[in-house]
Amino acid sequence: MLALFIAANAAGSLGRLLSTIGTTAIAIGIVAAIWLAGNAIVSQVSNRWPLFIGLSWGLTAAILFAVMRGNEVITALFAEEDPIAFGAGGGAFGRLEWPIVGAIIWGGGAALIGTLGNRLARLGVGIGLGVLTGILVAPNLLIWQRASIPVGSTILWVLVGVIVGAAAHRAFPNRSASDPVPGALVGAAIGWTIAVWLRASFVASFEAPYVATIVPLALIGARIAWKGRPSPRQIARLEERGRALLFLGPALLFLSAALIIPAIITVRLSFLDRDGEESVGFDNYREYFGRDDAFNVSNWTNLFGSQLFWIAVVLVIGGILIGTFIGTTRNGQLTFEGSNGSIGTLGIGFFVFFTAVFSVLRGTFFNNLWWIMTVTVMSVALGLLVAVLAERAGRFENVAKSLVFMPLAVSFVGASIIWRLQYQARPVQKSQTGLLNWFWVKLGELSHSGWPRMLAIVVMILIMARIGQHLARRVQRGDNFAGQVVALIVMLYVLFQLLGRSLGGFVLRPDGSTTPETVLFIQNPPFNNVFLMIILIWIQTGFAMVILSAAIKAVPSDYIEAARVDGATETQTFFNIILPSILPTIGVITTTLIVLVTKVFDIVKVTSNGNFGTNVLANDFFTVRFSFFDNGLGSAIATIILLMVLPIMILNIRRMQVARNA
Amino acid sequence: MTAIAPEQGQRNTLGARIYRRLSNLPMWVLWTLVALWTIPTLSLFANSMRDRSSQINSGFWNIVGGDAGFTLDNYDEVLTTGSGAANLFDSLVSSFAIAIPATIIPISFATFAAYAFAWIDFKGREWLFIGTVSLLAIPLQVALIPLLQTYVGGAHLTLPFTDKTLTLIPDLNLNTRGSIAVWLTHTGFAMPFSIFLLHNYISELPREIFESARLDGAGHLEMFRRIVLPLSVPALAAFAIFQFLWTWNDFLIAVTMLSGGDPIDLPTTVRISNLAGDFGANEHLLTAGAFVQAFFPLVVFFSLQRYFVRGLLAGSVKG
Repeated sequence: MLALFIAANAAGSLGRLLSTIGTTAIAIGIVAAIWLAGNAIVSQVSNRWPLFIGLSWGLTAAILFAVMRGNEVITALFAEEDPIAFGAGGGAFGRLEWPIVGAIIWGGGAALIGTLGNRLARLGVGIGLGVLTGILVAPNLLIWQRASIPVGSTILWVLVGVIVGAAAHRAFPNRSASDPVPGALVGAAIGWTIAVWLRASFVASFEAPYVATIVPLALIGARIAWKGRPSPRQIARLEERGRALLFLGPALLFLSAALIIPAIITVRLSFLDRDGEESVGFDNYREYFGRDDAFNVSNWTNLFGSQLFWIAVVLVIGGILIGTFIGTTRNGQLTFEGSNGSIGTLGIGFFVFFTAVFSVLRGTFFNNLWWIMTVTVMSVALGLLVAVLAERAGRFENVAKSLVFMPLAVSFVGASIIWRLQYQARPVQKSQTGLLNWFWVKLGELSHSGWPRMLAIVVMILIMARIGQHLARRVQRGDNFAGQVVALIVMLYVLFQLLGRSLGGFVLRPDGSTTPETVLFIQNPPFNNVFLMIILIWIQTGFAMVILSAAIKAVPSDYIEAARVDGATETQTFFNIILPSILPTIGVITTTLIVLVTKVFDIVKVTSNGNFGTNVLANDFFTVRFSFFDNGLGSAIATIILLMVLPIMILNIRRMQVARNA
Repeated sequence: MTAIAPEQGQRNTLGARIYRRLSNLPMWVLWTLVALWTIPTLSLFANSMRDRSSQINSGFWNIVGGDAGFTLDNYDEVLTTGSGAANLFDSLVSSFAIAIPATIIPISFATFAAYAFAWIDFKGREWLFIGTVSLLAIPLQVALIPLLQTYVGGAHLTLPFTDKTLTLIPDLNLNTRGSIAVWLTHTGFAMPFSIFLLHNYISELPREIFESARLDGAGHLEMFRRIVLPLSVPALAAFAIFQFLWTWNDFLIAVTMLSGGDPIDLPTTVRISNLAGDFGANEHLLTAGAFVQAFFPLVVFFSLQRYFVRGLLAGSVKG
């Protein structure tokens, strides 16, 4: 059935696929042809100078005329209709005549100029080109484009053009700086164009259009004619520059059209109203930060009621005490020494502290900060953990790494659906289908059961005793024992919960019986945010792991050998040799992750759609722009996202400057 | 290794070996993590092969025994009959129609640019390169609104000092014309990273090859074709995998740029999120759909993992 369907559908869908591939092939073919033609033009520079300048000016003229024709400045060349008629002489050829004629006249003229050695002769040809084109263009101008010539302002604009053009030419030391004439000529042409075409009031008269058209064109012609055949050195430079332009052109075009210019427009739109018409100053930003669901600090006093806050306080104080204790015993005076124990405890303390802070300060903006902190820290930490542990897994190293790495290939949408499945919560009378709630309810049943509970307690105590034994041995050896301590603390916590019959999801009824209780992972604020973050951590841990693993393997083995010879333990080698040398890599991963997390969107969109206090900036942006059609506010949110990654951008630039200078 | 080092003189019987394995705390942590990372995907796969009532009433682990409800009808249904006018099969075709051009086009432009930044001498090269790569951090939300406006309404430049408007790009309504707007957008957004990645590789090719080629009279075009293209196949492959995964898995660009178009052009990610949106009704199809969506990236990932990892490393470590 399925195969039949696919076969039947394939005909239709395959047609669609083939037509896409066809379109792609044609598009690529056209682009490749243009690109190769460009390269062919540049290849003429050194051997056939006239051909080169003929081709390049012919192309320039064709583009300029295409823009003029496309903007309905001039009518079709061979149109019978009155030039008043808007867009007279349409059709494909009506649009192509001007570019073709322009290319022939200017290409031929420029090529002729390229063969002439005498400057006067060249100037004659160049100015002649301008006059000829002007005579062709002027009568074909649409009637409301026929300018009058305001004498005073024309002189002023031409003067400005000359000065700016000459100065601009001088600003490029590589070019023939001694000769300001070409720049001045172009400047004059532009000045004239501004004064006569763009600023003037249009009056239908007979001679004015001729004067108005011929003068700038003749100036451009003179500019082409002014300089003769360049020297071999100039030609080599010209070829190099032309080649660079061709190789960079497509990329720079897409960068500016898809990134730079739109980003600038967005920043501008963020100061306009919802339709992008009236300027509203900072109102969009003020409105956004005034919204309760975006920026809400009113509950900050709840911080002191949160368990996490007090755990953080204990950890931070503990870290300081550990550091001071180690420093004081080692140095004999009251100092703080940063060791694994003290720094690690402090780090975890601060992490817990900010988690507490973000769970109290609510709103989209703080959610984003929370995402940035948690996902970045946890992905790097878990990635490092897996990378280090996998090293010891022997022949299973690659299996373990591949499996942790795999979620990176799954889309954010797919990952969200996968985790929705895990977070599923059903009414308590029914059996749970989500793994997490099933486990949670089973734990609740366990802590209210008879012998299974006793068995669990006994097993836990045995395992803890064994871990405690290892711990004692490692303490004696002076080895690092953080892993054992963490494992013991976690198990001790679980054990106490089990002893007190308070582990897992259940509700105690007044009559002493219990009913199961589920966790609404996605609906219960504020920690539903964390459960959404777990999805991204699940994806990104593999990324951090792979890069860190390679960085660890790249640490010179001499260093590690030397440390071993000096009697360093495995953990000492890790913290004193490996960790410092992979710090730059951790920095790179951190910045990459921050940039990625700042714009997280798909996960929130698919799981909660920003409800239950889980909104993030990118999802809010989408809702505001595409559901409420508010361009101003939407752009303001986008700009806030941009501002959040700006420090990273500056950091990256500085890092690259350093790397390039080194 | 050191966590639980085997004690001296310990007997090397099978029992002792098993005990040593089991008491190795780091390995417990590692394999617990690996299990946590794998089970979610497996659960999706298991549930995708169970019928609607089984999926709703019992957990995925029931696929072995219990309430298995084994069936392949979900795949059948999600591929043949979908919500709206189109089904997931159409979406797969659309996803390919987006991912293939959106991989080929940026890769070629980026290779040109990477070559220029590495081997062509021109003024301002350093700054242009740093500027290009620094755009890596620009979040695409910032460019989305104006881009969409351009695709729909063209680009019109209001000239300074005048009241005139010059049309640079006419109104094309690109958002309703197949996936063209999506490719163009992907191409633009891929540029900084692709140039960065390929430049890292191309600039490390040995200088001597280029010098001797130049002595033989080769121009940039020949050097690009004869030296750079054949030698950078690994980097090109790495980036192609990246870009394919990224465009196949993209949601934001597709959902915005195809907003006005024919639903048949929507890629799999958008289709799946639409399925997820109509709560409950298609819950049983969602698992199969999500698995079909993830199938192609996973195949690419597992068969070409080596290149993928290489690309990741070239893209980050050298930063």
